[in-house]
Amino acid sequence: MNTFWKAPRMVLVCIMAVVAAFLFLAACGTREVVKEVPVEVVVEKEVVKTVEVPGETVVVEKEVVKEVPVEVVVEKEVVRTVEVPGETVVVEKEVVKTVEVPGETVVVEKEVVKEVPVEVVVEKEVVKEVPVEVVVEKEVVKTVEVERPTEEKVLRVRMANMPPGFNPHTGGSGAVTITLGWTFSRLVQPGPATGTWAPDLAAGWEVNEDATEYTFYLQKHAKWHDGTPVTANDVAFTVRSLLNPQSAEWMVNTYASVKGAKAFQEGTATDVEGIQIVDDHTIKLIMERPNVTFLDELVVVAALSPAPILPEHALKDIPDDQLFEHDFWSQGLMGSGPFKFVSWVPQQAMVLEAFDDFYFGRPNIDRLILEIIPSADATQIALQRGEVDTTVRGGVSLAANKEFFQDPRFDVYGTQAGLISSYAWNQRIERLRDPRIREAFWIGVDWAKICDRFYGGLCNVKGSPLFQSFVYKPEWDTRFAYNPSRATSLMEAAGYSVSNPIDITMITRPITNPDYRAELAVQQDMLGDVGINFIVKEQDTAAGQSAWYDTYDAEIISWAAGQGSEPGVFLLSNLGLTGGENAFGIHHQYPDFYTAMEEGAAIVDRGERAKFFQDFTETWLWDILPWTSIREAARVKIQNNRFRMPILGDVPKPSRYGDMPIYPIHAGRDDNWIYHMEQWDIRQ
Amino acid sequence: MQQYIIRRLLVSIPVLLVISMMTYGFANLVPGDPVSAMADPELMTGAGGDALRERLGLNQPVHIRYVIWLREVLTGNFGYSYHSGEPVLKVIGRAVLPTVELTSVALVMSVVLGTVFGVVAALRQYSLYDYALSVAALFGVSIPTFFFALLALYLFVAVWGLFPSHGMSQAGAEFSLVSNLHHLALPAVVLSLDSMAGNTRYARTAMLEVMQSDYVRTARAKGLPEFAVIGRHAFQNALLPLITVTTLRLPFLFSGALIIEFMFAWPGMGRLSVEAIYLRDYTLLMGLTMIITALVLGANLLADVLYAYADPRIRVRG
Repeated sequence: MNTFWKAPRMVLVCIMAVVAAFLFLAACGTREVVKEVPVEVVVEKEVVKTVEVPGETVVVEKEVVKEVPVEVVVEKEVVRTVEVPGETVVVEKEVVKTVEVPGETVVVEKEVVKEVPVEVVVEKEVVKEVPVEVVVEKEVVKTVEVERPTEEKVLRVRMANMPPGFNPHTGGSGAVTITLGWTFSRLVQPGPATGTWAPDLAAGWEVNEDATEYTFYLQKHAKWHDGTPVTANDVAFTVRSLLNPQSAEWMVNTYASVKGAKAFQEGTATDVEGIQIVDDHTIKLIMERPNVTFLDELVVVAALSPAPILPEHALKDIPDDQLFEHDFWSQGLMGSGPFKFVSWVPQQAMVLEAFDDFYFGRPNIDRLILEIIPSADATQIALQRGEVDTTVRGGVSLAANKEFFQDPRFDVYGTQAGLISSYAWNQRIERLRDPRIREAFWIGVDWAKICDRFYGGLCNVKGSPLFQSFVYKPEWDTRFAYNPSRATSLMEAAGYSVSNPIDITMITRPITNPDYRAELAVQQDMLGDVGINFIVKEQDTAAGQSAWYDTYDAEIISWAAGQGSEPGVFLLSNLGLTGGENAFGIHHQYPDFYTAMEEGAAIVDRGERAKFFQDFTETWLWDILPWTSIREAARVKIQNNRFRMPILGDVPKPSRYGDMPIYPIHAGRDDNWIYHMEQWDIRQ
Repeated sequence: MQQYIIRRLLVSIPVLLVISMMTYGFANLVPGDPVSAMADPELMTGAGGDALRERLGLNQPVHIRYVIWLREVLTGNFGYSYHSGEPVLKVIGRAVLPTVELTSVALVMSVVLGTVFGVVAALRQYSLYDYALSVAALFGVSIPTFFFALLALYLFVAVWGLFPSHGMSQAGAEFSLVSNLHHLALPAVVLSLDSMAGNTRYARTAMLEVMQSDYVRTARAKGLPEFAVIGRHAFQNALLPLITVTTLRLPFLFSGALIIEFMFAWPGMGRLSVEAIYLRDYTLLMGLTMIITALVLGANLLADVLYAYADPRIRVRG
């Protein structure tokens, strides 16, 4: 008989122990709620009445001492001259001391000195707590003012991932720039509602007639988060720092239009000639040549937020060649924006808190906590449970979006062109140079159907990459409409057919969204019907970028560049030549293309500029087709409706998902997320 | 034994060297480099990163870079992360603690409970409990971890709201052990399920084998109480395969559990390793590889040493 190994009992005991521990943790680890203990302000009011009966004469004196600090001796001196008609003049001096000791003891001291001119009699009388002659009445009124308990306003924002550091010199990723936008100021900020630039650190600015001088008037009360005033020197430092090849490589184009930038970058000048500090709060940036798009250029690399202004006093002592690695960018961020950096733990969370001295006023939100949650499933649950309020970079599935849309606790809206998709072609590859293939590739897919099926209808096909610009014509939308028979004809003319297809390989980043994988399968199917064997190759960012920019062996890549409103800035930054080379490989075939772009970008008059780029689109761009299959989809945002973003107003909730409000943007894909953050609020 | 350990340690040196060369070489063969991973290609302006490559030393040939790296490592300097600029050991140190916390709890649970379940199943062979535990163990080893993670997230977080959905403590709040354990419970349990099931099967098999051996029969025939037969004679011998399995899993304590870290947003070595690969952060990648390799070699050595102690038949011959 097995007396010890009572197997069933052992199993049960083990299971119960595990379950008990599990439940214990579930029970005891309730979510932490931070409660503010009400602050009590005690105002003490004290009234002291002293009634004195000196013999026959009744003198009543009332002394009221208000808000006497505890343990303070109050001394009152009364000098009285009493004239007795006839012979005697009596001068009386009375000193009353009221000493208050915390607790109960009250000591009242009175000294009376009388002077009689004939016979000088000095009488000194000290009265100490004598109830008969001195009546001390003490009335203590305590008013307890209880402040209404205010809950700290904390906004919890989810991001899918975040690089370990936030160096703007290399920070081209959206996650970094949006974070820098919360902590640093920009000279100007994109105004999504107006489609123009709005004041930020620059309270105002002037551009001279030929657009060669930009004068910025800085906020007079702007301060860095350590309290140091922000001055024009900081702006000058930023321009130099972002142009300095020792500390910045990616951002060289940001201030490249400033006069003398090139000489400074090449080391032939020690300073940037075009920087002129007018006074502490005024700086003038002189351009190399007329440049109407300078403000737009500040956002080109950052994509979501114009280049941040950096603190000279905190960075000037760091050698240029060490600036890149300095831990200022990961553990010591200090800007002059609405939120102060508190902490950053890679892979976990960043904590920011309201900056009291922010020049537009203290933010309504006390703390902003950025949580890194890579999983879309965990994000969905975290949103539903209120563990995070919103997600800013990286979304959830279409099905989950629709679920949140039905949930009254959430505002669900879209931002215009939040998802921009197109295919960029490498025209170095001989067989891809035939424009008929590129056009067939574009019109061989029913993009409208794909938009409806995979984007809930929140997607549009566009005829030009300039669709966010003021130059865009609505009729361009149908320029490359679905036309499989024409696509087949074009392919046949180019020498390909369904039985003899052309292989076209696209490089894209690893696909984590199953919806996108399904969408690509549909595209492959449709393209197969017109004679294109569309191959999708997933590579990580570094490999894909190397294939596109370094080895030039990628055929096409998925492309989602932020657009901005200025066509010249977009085109020059994407198609421009760097070191005589162009990523699309079209400079050898079309050398005049670049001259034309530069000429157009330099046109000062907006109307003329629009006309130029409209013609440019219909001729150059449609002939060369560097990009095809251009479509823009709204980026769906989900936020707990206790979070208020004033620029959105009251987000309407239509009955159909496809009718959700789409908010415009100006310069980037999410620029409502970096616009007047101090106005954000949490509904209590 | 001492000589044996020293000899094994000396053999580890060339192994580490070869692995470091292979890792460095293969990492550099993969297209892209730290600079090309820095900027989002969608946002690239086409500006070259050659100056940055030069300053980071990436313009040097691979073998030169490897020699420089090795020279520095021998002086204890594992270098700096290309992306954060922080010392590699600091970055790894930050990720190791959450990983060790998660994996050690999971490992202890899987070993203790797995062993108990396996032994019980063996002792009650062909009983209802044996069948139930065997089926459960089969499910445990067959179903992938991500499925359990999803199921746990759905049931314990979304439906019943018993546990937080992500992180290792409440972000932005002072560290609290209770909050930390609350966050830990679900990922640790999910992580332990797979190896717990494996341990149950190992323990059951080992115990069944031992229980039928001659010395157990002899012990019973001598009239020893069942407690002594099972505890002293059977269980100790059945432990041997479990020691092997467990010690070989020790490096896992430090290498992280990528899927669980990803699903529950638990910071750790798994996510750090993947990030290092994606970002082509060669120095960080090498630091991680070397540490994990050293742990694997150390764990193998430990397994051998423990074997010698657990099994009197195994003795080192000089």
